[in-house]
Amino acid sequence: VLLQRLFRRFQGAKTVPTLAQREREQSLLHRAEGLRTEAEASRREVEAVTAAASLLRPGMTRAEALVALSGNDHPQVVALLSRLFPAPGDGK
Amino acid sequence: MKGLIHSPTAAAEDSIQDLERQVATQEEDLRLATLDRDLLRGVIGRLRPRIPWEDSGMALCELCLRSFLLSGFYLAQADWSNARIIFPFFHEAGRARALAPIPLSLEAGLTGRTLLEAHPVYLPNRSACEAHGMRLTDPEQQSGLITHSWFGVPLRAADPDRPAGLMGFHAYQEDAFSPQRRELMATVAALTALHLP
Repeated sequence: VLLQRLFRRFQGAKTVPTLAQREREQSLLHRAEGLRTEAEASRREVEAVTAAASLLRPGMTRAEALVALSGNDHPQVVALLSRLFPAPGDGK
Repeated sequence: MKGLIHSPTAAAEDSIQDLERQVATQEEDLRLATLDRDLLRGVIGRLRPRIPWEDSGMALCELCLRSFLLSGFYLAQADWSNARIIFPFFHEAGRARALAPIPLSLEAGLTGRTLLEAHPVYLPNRSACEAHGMRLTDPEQQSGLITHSWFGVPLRAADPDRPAGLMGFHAYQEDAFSPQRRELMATVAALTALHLP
């Protein structure tokens, strides 16, 4: 029984990380989360621009484009619309 | 007993190595996602309303060659009233080239056929290209370096049955363009079509 207790205690000790390991783990988790968030943002931008490009048609007016893109207000899509249909006074 | 004697921190080390592998995978994922994002930002940044065809080809060529690892990139303009195809921009085998206009017909190679069919066509190998009427260009005939993958995307116009032209991408490798890459290429073509005169 004593040996069994010692063995269990030993097994438990194996899984206890040192302070340095805990810090390293935290740092890696934080880095992984940051990378995931950044990649997601890039993918969302690509998806938003792709969706916008598929909905817009050459010859559309600004009003038609705004209707076609309603709900897609990603900043890059807004920038695309501004370039395609500069409002009076833009660029001054 | 030897098998039982581990460093007390062995499991934590395993966990850290696992996390390091995850971080490496996510770094690669981010790199690829950023490349795609920057490509589209680059396209939008380089185009302007009513940009001439030649200028848009020049503006996008380097970006597309690099992003899609292309051997060639071109813009073809459909002249429907005169039933011919003009090549305002054609880049192949390392430099821009002047191509004479060709008739707009089903026999006019890949470009003519795709324009008349009015939807994107992907040909992943040489036999598929030949079956669709591929014609060898002068550089291909001279160098022996022949297109194996070809993707042509009609450039939309107000009349969906009569595209304004076509954006062509080619590569020497077989099956060089995955569905995801083709979707991105189609987006580049769609953005370009919005800016052409």
